[in-house]
Amino acid sequence: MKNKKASNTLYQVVMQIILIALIFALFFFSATSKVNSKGTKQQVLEKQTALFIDAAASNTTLAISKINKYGKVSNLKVEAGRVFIFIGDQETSRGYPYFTKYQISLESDNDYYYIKIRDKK
Amino acid sequence: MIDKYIKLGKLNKHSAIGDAVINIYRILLVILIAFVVLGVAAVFYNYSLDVRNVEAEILARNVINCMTSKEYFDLDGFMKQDKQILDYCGIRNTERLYASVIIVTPEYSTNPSYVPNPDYQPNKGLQLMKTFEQGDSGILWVKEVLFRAELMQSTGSSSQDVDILKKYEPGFFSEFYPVIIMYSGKKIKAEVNINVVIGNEL
Repeated sequence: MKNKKASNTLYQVVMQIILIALIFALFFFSATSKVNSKGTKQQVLEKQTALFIDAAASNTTLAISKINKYGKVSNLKVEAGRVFIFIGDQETSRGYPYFTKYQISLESDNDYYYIKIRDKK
Repeated sequence: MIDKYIKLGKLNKHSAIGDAVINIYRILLVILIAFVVLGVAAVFYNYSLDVRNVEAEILARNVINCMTSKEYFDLDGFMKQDKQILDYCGIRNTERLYASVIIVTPEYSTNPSYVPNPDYQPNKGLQLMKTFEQGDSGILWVKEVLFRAELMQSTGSSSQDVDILKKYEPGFFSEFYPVIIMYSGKKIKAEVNINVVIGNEL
């Protein structure tokens, strides 16, 4: 009887420790991403790129290095009137809108992303 | 004897339920603490870059380049078609943009001034010719309130802290440009005042 009670208590304590450890692990992972300031670097790149697109004349190509001072750019998208840039293992981005009247297309190779700004046909 | 064991069994069941309730409370408390600390960290490390003033300047330049892409701005042609000024210049994503274009004649002035309101009264010697605007002019009121508050603070007529309003300030740019316009078949030397306001991107 006593052994059964003791084992039940141990089981409860272990379950609580596991649950609390899981919650704190989630908390530390999300706090780490904030402290690394990847969000700020992403914001800087997106806004810089959007401003370049807005200010650029026709027949301009912007080359963005995949490895730059803000980190490794893992993905870059230009869609729905917004620029989305992902640094490292980021998977979400709010993007930043641009208002240029020109047509925007995106290409890439091993080292650069190329944003091409052309007249609308 | 059997009754005693049955009573003990019921008591054990009740204590087990009590333990479960306390455990749920403990888990919820841990979750709450984790969220509070996470929230504080998010606020502390969050940083928002405001590039809207630069965007406003770029937009103003795009509009004036559009108006002066030929030797003159064809005001007659613009008045005949249905588009507003930003659509006429091919500008996209205009939901958070506001632009007003005020054409004045005949003198050329090099004295740009802040013009928060499209109901602009030109300086003496200049004649208001045409005004076009596109976008939500409602965001102008924040700029106007801030302008008047700063004016009152600088003249000492108000002791209120203007910095509280600064976080609501939209991006803004205003400039005068000389331009030649075609109006009623005649080329006229004029001056264009472009005011651009950019709201938040959300």
